[in-house]
Amino acid sequence: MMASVLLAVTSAVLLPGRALAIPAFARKYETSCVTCHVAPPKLNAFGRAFKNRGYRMPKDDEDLIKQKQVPLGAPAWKKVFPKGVWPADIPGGEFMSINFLAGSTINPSAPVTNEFDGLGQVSLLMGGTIGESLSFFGDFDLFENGEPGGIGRAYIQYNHPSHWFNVTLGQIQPRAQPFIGDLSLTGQTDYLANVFPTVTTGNFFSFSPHQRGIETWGGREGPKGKGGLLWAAGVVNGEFGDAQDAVDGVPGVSDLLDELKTHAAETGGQFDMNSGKDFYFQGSYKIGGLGVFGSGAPSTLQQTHNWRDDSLTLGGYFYRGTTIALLDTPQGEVFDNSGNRFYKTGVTLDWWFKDLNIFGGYQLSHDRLKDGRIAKVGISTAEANYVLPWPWIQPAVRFENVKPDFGPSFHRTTLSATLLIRANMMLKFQGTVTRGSVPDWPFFDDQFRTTLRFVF
Amino acid sequence: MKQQVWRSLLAIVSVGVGPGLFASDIEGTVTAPSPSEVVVYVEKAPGTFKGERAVIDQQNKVFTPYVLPVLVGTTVEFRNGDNLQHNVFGVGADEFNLGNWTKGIVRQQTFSKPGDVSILCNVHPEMEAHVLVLQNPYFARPDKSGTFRISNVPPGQYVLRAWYRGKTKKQNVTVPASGSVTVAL
Repeated sequence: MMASVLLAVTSAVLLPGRALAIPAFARKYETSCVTCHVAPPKLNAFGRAFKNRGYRMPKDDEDLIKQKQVPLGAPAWKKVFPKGVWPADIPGGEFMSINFLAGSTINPSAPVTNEFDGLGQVSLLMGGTIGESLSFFGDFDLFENGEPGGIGRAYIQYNHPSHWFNVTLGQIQPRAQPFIGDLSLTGQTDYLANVFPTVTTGNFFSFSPHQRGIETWGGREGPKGKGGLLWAAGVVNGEFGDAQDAVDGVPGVSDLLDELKTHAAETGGQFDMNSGKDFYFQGSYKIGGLGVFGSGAPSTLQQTHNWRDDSLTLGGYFYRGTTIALLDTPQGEVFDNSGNRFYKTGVTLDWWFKDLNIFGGYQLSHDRLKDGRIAKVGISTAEANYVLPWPWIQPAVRFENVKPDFGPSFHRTTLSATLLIRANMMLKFQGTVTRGSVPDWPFFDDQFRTTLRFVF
Repeated sequence: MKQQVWRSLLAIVSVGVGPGLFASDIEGTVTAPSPSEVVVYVEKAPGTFKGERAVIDQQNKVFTPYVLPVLVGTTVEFRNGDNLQHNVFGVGADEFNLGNWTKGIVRQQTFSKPGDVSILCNVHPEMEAHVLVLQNPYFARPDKSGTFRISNVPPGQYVLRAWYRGKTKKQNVTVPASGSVTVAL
């Protein structure tokens, strides 16, 4: 039960790479990945508006669709409702795509300092719309690092025509997280703000790869259709995630993790370890640039300079969760499935100016155990991406500083270069270097990784 | 009896003479994915007009035409050109159900209320057509390029509407005593 759930959400933090661009959309509209991506998987403003509209083009969507939807009843059946079934439509073409990834890793600290992973990952990606207001998205790893994969993100979404109120249900990536690694040029290593565990309290909750639950969200564009407000509120299980992999092979810590998982599996529900659901809020406001739902977008699908979106977005979030803990009591150590009440809160900034994008944020994690112990971790993140005159080369750099109150601080630097050698083929070089009082975890080994991704 | 005769005479005068003495054309263009499925019409015009007969056929599980603009009082024949059973029912401004029938049989319905009546088939849910019941004969269906012309419209101020797949867009228009007025919808 719980153990199987934990297995399902487990994947290496140094990922071969999870699902990114969805060729199903490229097929549907007969357009290139760079219509919506600066370079896959990073979305440009148009791509974010496309996503916010439930995977529909901001303008003249119906005209731009080349693979027509299959109607499940003529639209006029809406007039028959409730005496008849509300009509819908489903993708008329291929809504699934395949993602292949091959890579090699150089890690001077590992037992084998360099190795190929062959075809490290094969996954199915899917996405599409159902009628005027529903959509779906999902990725399923057929195998990863030589092992059978599992379901990643998988959700169905309702978009109200006003955009003010929308609902996403399934295995979602909560908007109350600072950055989504799956949408980052440097996402080959996930953001520490998403996955760094608070080991002294045994808190292995992580935003990545996803959470099971429901999210309501919406927004409104700003004056003259520029920028605008986005808000989100959600309720999720609050399961362990990729934080588990960060401590893989760490003496003492991985043992604690195993004990927690075993106890949770024996005493928890099918998916969650306690009845207390986690909840969160998030809000952001974009000043300038394309409207968050695409007002002012061109009716033609642009391929060059579509990353330019001079704007500034400020955001904030608050996540409150409950997780298992091993408590110190007069009777000795006792497991409590709801022993840790924690929160994560932070602020984010996203600035685009011509060909430059700088974004970052600060997150505070605060754990309070029922036995009175408290632990805090502050993580600062900054990342920059500059689109060169040759937009098929995308350099990016990320800096992260971790400051726990239970140990010394350290920082990690990530350098990445993405080469779009074809519109659907990416060669990526990425290296990470961690300095300071670095935890002696294999996760923080200096590494250099090369990957080749091919999606169709 | 006398009143009915007078009303009939007045109707004949208004149809035959009213629009004919001073009239102009409304011409223009519409922009739509399938312009030939658009109906451009004057929402309300002076006079009383009488509907006649029209036809909607069913062939290869498709209503033909997709949209049929008619005057109030028009009787529409629903034919079945397929070798299978069809049903026809209407929802919207007027509601009716003509039941199921097979090839060769014709059933009919008179449309007495202005508005959009969606025509559906209970056997084949993908089939859809619209009977657009109008108050006056000042309407046109654009050609494939979106160009249209509504002829012999009496001078005056009108609301011009363009109907497309159940949705409408309107524009105010002033028709001069002679010549034409050009609009873009």
